[in-house]
Amino acid sequence: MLPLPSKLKLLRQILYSGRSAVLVLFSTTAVGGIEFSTLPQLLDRGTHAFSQGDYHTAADTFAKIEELYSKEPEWESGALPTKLLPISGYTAFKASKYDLSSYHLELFLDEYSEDSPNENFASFCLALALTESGETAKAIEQFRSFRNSSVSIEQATVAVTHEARLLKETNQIKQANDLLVSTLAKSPAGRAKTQAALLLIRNYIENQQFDNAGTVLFETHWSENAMPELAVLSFSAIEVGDYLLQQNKPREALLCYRLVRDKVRLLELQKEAFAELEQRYETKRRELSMEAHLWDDFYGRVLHNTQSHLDALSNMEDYSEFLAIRKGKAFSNEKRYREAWLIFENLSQSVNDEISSIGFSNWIRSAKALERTEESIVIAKAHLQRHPESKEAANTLLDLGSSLVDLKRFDEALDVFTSIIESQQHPNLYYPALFQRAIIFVRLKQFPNARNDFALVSQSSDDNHFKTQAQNWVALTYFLEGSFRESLDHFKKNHSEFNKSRYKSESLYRIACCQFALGEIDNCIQSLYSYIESYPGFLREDETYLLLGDCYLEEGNFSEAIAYYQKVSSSFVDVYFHAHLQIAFAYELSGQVDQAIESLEQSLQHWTGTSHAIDSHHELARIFLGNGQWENAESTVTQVLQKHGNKVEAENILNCIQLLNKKENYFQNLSTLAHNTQQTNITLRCRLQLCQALFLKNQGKKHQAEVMLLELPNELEFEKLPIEVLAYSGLELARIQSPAGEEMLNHLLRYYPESKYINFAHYGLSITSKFDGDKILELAWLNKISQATPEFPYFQESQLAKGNALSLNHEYKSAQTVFEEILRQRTISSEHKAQALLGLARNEHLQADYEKSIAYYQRIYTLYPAYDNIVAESYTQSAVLFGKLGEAEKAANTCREFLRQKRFEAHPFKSQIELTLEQAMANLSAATQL
Amino acid sequence: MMRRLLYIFALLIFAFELVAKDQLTLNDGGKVFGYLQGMEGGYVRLADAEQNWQSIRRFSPDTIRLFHFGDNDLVEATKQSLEQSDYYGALKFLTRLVEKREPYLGLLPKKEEAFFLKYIHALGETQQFGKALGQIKLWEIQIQNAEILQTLELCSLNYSWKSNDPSQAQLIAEELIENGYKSSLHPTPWMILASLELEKENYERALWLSLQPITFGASDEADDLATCYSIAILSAEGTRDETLKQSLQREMEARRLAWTRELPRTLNIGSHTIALEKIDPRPGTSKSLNLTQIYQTLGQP
Repeated sequence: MLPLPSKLKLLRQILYSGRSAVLVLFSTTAVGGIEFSTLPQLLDRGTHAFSQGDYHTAADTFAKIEELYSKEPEWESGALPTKLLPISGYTAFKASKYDLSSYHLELFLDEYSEDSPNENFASFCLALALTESGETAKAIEQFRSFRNSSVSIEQATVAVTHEARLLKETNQIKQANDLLVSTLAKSPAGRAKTQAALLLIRNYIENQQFDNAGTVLFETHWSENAMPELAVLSFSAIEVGDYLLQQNKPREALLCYRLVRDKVRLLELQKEAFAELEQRYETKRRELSMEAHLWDDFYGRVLHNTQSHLDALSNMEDYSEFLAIRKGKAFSNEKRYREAWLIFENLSQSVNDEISSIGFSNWIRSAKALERTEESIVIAKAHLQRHPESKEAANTLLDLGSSLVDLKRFDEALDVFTSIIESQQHPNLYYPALFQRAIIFVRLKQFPNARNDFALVSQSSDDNHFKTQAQNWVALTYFLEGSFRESLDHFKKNHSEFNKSRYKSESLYRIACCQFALGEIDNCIQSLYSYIESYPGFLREDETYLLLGDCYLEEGNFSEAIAYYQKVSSSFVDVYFHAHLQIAFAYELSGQVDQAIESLEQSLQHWTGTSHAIDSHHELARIFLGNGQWENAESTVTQVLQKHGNKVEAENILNCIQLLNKKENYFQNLSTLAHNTQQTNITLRCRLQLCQALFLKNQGKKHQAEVMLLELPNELEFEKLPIEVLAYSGLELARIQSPAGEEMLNHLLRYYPESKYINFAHYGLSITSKFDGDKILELAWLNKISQATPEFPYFQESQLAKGNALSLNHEYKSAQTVFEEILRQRTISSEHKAQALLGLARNEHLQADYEKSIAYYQRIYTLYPAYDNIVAESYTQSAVLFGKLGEAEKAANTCREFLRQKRFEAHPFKSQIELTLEQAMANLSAATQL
Repeated sequence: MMRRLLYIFALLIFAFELVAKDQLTLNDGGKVFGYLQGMEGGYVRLADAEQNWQSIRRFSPDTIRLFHFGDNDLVEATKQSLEQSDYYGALKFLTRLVEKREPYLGLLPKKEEAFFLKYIHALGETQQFGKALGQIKLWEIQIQNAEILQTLELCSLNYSWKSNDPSQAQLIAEELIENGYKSSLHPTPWMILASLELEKENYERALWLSLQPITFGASDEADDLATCYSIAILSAEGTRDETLKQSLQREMEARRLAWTRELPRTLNIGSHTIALEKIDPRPGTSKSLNLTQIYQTLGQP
């Protein structure tokens, strides 16, 4: 409300200026109950009513003046109407007498406005009155006229927003938007511009023109902390952001969401803006000009709207967490997983269970995307613990399983997928879980189990993509277990059944692989030609050339082999690299050693990666050695050592160094090399020392080897040791029960969990557990060693240990499987075979199946007589078991056979054999007497 | 007519005196005018004159509902100086405003306590960080309004940082975060911790810290937010996350945030030049590079 003195002063100033002396001469009288008032009395009454906010009385009074005095000379002279009509029009407008208001204002503008400072005000007020009285077309025209004549861009912008609203009401949306767009381009920043921009955005949103709305949102500079329309901006931004997110424009969506405040903050800002606006409104109202009334209307409307926004905002549900979900998703889609992590981690702590569960499940995905697998497991477990019944829990289980697989924690992963498969809660996850479990079985080399699961998926899943993949895997499992014939049959079937070229081509390539493995080289070549013809440019093209090269190499057609190897492109660096090695090998086999060397030397420059560079040097040195070129071999190794030897990632360099171990003075040479290596090249020095120790070990100088190995952790911090040194030394030291070994292996586990040397740690720690008498832990470590890798030469040894541990833990069937699997391997040594048979014999012995046990023992001393200790134990145990079975003669014969062999004269088993023989003889004698 | 004029004049003088005098609104609704003379024995003292007073009244704080200080002229002058960014000028007025209110700290409404905040701000703007920090320590145990207290704590953080006391700044920042201060409110605590981590070449940690305000914050505090972006971009470079680096650069531009040329204190020291070299080992970079060159090498957004 305006303060009284200022309003009075304003009106009097307007009405009386220069004319009071004349006006007072006019008077009016009424007779018989009619009130008589003079003009000054009427003016006083009108101004007083106006100042009190009694617009009705004021409007009636001013109308009376016009009615009574419009024919008077003073009126006709123009002085009175020039002053009175704008204010009476405005007063009538405030009293909602829009027709009267229009009449007075039109009269003023038509006849008395020339040179009047109130023309602008009257024009605007008339436009408002016309709007209110429903004369939209005239109102639009009036606003247009006002903005065209207005000198203030800001005032013109206010008029534009009114005009645009009216245009929109009359379905002239395009005109409305065009008008707003052109105004925004020239209007300076300010409240009016903000209003115009928001109106334009709303129009665009209502007409589904979200991209346009987005453009205005991004291009307008919002003074977010001061604008009272912040709520409108926020909700418009959410709408546009949602559309953009849906359109896969996360970056733009994020820009929209960033314009939105949390509810609490928005309320605070709205309140502050409201207070500031109220203050400004009051200030403007005190200004003594008609212009101020123009802004009075504008601010009045903004205040009214702001108040209603505030009320609506206070009563509405808090949307902040829903907004956060949108932002998180936008960050994820934009591949900004760290930011997504922060948001979803925050949401996971929500008191709203539904939101918290969404937070957890998305947090897991962010962690996985950032390759924070360990963390993703912890989060997934927390999710399942807190929201086991939520609809996101099922997917979390899948995520948990796949994270465990990534960390090679296969046993736990198997449990998770099995729990999904066996539970009836998540039918839609049944096949994905089955598929994932099958993949784990493949990695664990449990091919029949894998095949069962894949077969179930391929037979029943509704998802064709899944089905085809599963079918492909069924064939592949046969291949992986060495059943090439079955694999071939399945791939042939797949090739004829599959429709998509991607899978058809894959089957054909695999057919060729099976044929190669079966030695059907001609068929293989035919299949490969067929692949090249049918699927040019497909994924396996380079591998096809490589395999064709191998086929011709197999047939001794070296020139053809080399020609195909040379066709391999550099698209896949590993295949390309392998082709180059094969070229050299083909030359070498064909007796063209110089060519082999030349081709390798030429190719050295291609390999930028350390690993490939080392392997190609290794191959070169090997060929030199094969041809007795010791010096060249040595210089090649030295060269690679100098270039890559000190690089932490050069793990395969050990093979290079060890190539030279047949050379005379190898050990001394290594010492010299180590001596000449700079002190700062710690990694290389460690590697050289490790090679020396391993050499000594192979020479049977175990004690010296141990001393050298012990020096490594004693002289250097673990952090400075290269990973393969940690692995080899840790394992060797664990074997001799050195605490340093255990520490090194634990360090390896902790800091290099994804390393290919990790099996050293598992095996070494199993040995430590065995020494500690912890059979369960020993087995747990051994179970972690799931497959053979070139970097872990102790795989068979570890599998033997696993079989024995299983046996001692009464898991006889599993133990038997492990030993039989070892025996199936073609490449294992005779000693390992003998040990596997010993394991099987002991396993049967523990199950009290003495006959089977004896059969295994007998196979050992028949087939593998070279290994004294194993053979001695086999003789002894056979004899003992024969005794237990009551077959004294066989027992005695076995003992005699043992005793006949000179090598066992001082063997520890001799005394037991002698005792067994005595008992057998006694039993025989007793039997004879009987 | 003359009499009427004299009457109006007398009224004006009376009104002026009312305005210049301090006022206490009591719990019973009564208003007492006078000149506040501080506290004594736990009582608020109100005298009948500013100096050479004849009588003095004592009020228990329990009986006072509201303080009103009769120094509107100073308030107005302060406002004008601040509007013109004349912080030295404002400080003169604010010193008087604050001195007058200081005895009643703890009894004042938020509106009056806000002068203490303005005073601290003005000290900061005139680089008197030490004085500001000391004053904050004296006042923060008495100030009642939580919002003002938190803002003062942020000032402490800022001024400790600016006055080259990173360990104190770190302490305050960690305390603020531990007490649940949200990165959506103000990025400074995260900005400071991220800077320190960047200095130590802990790029991953620096990245996570600087991303907090970027993720949750609005563009209220453009300067500190821009610094957070700069730190995050450098850290993304350090962690070799090229995708994130580019996203942040694009977003910084879209949010109209200027690349911080003057990154936090620590980046200007020689050791950090080396750190930046480490994260961008492209040919042409050397220890002699200055920061501007490094920014150019990294690709100024």
